Amino acid sequence: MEEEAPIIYGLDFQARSLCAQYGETEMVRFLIGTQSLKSENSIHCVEYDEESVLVSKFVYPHPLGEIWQTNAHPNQADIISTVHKGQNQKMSATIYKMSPVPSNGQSIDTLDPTSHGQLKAIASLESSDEKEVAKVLWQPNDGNKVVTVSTDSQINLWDFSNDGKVQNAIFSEPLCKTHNQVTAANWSPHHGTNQVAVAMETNLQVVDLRSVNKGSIYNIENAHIEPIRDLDFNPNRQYYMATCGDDGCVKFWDVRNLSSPVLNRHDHYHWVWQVRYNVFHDQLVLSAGSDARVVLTSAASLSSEPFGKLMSDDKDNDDDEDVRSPLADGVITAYEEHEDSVYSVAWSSADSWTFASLSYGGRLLIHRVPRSLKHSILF
Amino acid sequence: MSKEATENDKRKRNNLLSQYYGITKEKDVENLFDVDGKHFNADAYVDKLVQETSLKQLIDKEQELVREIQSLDSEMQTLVYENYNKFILATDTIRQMKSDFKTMEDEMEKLVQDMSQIATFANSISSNLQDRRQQITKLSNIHELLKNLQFLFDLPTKLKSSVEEKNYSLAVKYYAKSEQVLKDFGDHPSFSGIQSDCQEIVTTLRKCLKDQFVRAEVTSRELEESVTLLSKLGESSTSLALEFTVINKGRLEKDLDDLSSYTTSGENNGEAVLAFIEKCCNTALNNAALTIATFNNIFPLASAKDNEGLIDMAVDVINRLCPVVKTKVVEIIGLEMSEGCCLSLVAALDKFHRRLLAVQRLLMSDNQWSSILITDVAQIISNRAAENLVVKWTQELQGWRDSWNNDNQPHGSVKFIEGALIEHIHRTLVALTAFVGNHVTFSQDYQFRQTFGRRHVREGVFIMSLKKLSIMLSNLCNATGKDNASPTLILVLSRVAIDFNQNLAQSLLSLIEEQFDIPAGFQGDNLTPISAVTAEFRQASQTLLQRYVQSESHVLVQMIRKSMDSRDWLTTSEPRSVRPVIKRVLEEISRVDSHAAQLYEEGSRKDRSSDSSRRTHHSSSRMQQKSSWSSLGPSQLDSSLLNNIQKLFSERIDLSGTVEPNKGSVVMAVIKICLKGFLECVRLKTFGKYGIQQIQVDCYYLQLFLWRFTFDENLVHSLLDEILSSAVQRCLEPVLMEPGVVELICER
Repeated sequence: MEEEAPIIYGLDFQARSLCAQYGETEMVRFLIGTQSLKSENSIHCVEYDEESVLVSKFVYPHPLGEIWQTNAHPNQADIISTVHKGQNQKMSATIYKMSPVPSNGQSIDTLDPTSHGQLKAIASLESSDEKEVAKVLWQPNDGNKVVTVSTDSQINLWDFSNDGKVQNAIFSEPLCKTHNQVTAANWSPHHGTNQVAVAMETNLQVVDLRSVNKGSIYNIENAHIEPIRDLDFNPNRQYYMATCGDDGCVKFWDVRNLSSPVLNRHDHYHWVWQVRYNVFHDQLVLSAGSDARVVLTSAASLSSEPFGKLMSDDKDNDDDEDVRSPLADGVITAYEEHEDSVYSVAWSSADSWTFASLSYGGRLLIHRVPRSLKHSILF
Repeated sequence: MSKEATENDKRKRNNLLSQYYGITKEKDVENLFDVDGKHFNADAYVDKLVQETSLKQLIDKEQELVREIQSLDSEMQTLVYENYNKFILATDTIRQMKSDFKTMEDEMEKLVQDMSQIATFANSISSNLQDRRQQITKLSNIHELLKNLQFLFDLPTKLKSSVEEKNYSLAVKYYAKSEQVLKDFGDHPSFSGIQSDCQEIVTTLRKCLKDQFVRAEVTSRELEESVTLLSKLGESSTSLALEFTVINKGRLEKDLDDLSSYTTSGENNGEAVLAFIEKCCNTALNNAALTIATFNNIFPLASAKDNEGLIDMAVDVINRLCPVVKTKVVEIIGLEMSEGCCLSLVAALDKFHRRLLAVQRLLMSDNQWSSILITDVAQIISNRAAENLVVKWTQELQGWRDSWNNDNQPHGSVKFIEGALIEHIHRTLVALTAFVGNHVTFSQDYQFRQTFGRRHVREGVFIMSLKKLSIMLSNLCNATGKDNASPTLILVLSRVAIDFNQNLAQSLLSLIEEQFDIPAGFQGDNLTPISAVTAEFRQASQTLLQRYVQSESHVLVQMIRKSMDSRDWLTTSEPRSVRPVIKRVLEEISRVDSHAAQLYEEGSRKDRSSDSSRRTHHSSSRMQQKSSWSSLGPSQLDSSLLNNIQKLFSERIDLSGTVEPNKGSVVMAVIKICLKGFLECVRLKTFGKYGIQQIQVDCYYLQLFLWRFTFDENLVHSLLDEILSSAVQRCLEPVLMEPGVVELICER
């Protein structure tokens, strides 16, 4: 059971944004962007060594103000993007190259602790007019393109494929003429990475980037009764996605039938700020909420993994009463170690059984899924 | 000596005579002196007389004696004469008789002679007549034979005519008379003609009889007659029995077919069922009974095997009849079942049951047809009743949902809704009690009552429908869009669910136990304990309450969020009043409070000071503290550290959805979610100097008024503090207002 006690890492600053360093495939490493109006902000690169159970960090100062969103490049460990708000109180997006960064498989401890991390801005993703950026999305898989979504739902596509130089490819009209602000967005890894989902309050629209001004491919009116805070595509099943929102619900959708969600979980007591599929075992879904809880949910009935695998083993469940049978859809574990609202949660890119969650006070918790659950999924 | 001897002889003779005549000797002394006595002694008498009497007396005596002697003499003479005369007469008579007998002897002799002569004559006559008599006997025999022959020759004609007249029994009688003769002399050419003729006619006759046997509308009497006649004609009883069985089977099957294609003529359902059962009894059942009875009548000596064939057939028919009855009854009674319908149905079933039992006795079968049939029907009916009940309830709930008026007072609505729900289940139960009515024969069966009461009514109707109800109530929460129920209705329904949990379910169960003979509180026999149902209602009420809290707080949070988004907090002007939205939120909360108070107990408050003046002082001192630390400015003290330190002293806010069924908890839950939402909105904004002051004013105002709704004001305080401190953190120029000014603004 000791493995289920979380690793706690405290930042001294408030923080909202967290993501795994996807480019790093061997070390469990997360990036955190701090959010402070008054002090110097920075990107914290936190590494967790499973064997020594030690957490090490490396800090990259972020001079352009408080960080609202941090996104790592899908396969280049040293490239990140942030959405930040500086002195001018305008939400902007910038792409950085981090240095120094340990080479793949090397621990962060190998970096010279006396040296200072540095973020070198590669591109500032400013559209011509004075629009505020709501979200930055990396093209899944190869990361050759970036999409920025402005708060009034304008979608901009930035192309990097040409020798690392940024080419502004497309500016769309705002998707929605109403005053509803963009609250969430994500890029589908399926369909040739041409689809982007944008949530404006309670409505969700999915557009094709090739015909972005011709309206949405499909949309879900009132997907939640309160604003949608996040959404995630099932990485392995192309028609499935999850949304979460202020109504405390996590909803799973089959986009071929949008009249009602295929699964609706109401396991949070307050707003749900983020929902994330496990890339390797998509029956595992994390959600984080302002009820200061992180909930690990099983969506086994919607998983790309056949049921048979899950059904094989009962003996582990017998000696671990905390874990419900992973066969059933529902809460596997609810983590309640946070004291404040949890705004972000991320699966590790290196170890599919490890995840981190970040609460407003700057507390980072690194958890591992229960061993019995892991066994019942694997064997 | 001789004298003595004579004297002795004399005495001897006297003795003998006196013995013979029964005279006893009187040896009295006086008798010696009685002249008329036997022992009269003349000498002694004389002596005595001489001695005792005077002379005169003696002379008188002598004269008297002389007179007496003379009279006696004369008397003696007369007697002798008379006796003599009689003797003479007897002698004459004897002489005459002698001569008469002589004549009679002669006549007798003559008679003997005559008699012998007569005997001789008679003998001769009888010998003469002997020959004649033999001839006459022969003649009369021949006559008889001729008469029989005449009958035989006439037989075909007679048979034919009687067959034509349909007088089959006469025909058979004739044929039976002659059959043996014909059989014996069938070789003879003249008879063979007759025989073949007869045979031919009899074949026709047989055919006619069989036709009659087979004819559909034949009465059992006719049937019996034809069978009797046929058996007289030499049909084997086994084959007849077989044929009888087959024919009747056909007939019964036709009945069955008629019944299965029976359609009602759109009458009232109850009456239609009665009519159908009537038809069942009058056709199939009646005919089955009749068949068996007739069979027993006409084949009294039927072998066990034949009997078995028939019984098998009847059993088979009834075996098939029962499902037909079941299907039809269930079909006719339809889905809408009023109480009257049920009563008619039960009456109909009861009738069928009794008739079937009668038939069963005839069959000597111990099949459980009727009880199986009735149990099945009862089960179907009770299932249907339960489904109907659930449908009714669903409609009720939908009705309330669609026509809900938010002005409805929660308290009255609870009573109204509960009344309607109970009314429906009562009606259902009343309808079902028909099955266990006292006058119903089949319900006297203990097994049936038990199964019906426990399995069908208690489990099938009561438990099942209540479970469904609790699910329906819970499901109402999940509906979205146009099916969305009004929050007030949801609150009302949560109270309804609690009432079911606390007493309604139990009182309904008691009612059922009483009406359906279930021991009160009986738990065995795999019955679902009532606690399973009440637990579901508790669960449902919990879900509904949570849903209520969600919907109410959803509206409030939305108001707060919109108000936060619509203002530029960096450049807003100096606060002059509490924002209207905050006042609006308070109004809403007070409405929630009043609604909840109508339905729920207050709930336990944590010790709250009732002294509001002290409270005000307390809060202003808190405000003082706050402004003092904020005046230190962010540069002097790391705000996040401060935040963390503050966290150490405040409770972690429990937002978990568990809402206790009491007013305080409900209102508190709404307040918590609102304030937490407010907090989240604040954290998304950046504030200027006046922005934060506006938040300060709003928080103070909330603090002034929220305490009255909650039993845990510390929680409210800590949330409001957190809102303010988050706002401070999100503020570029965190300068708070003077508490006095804040109070002034709020009290304005």
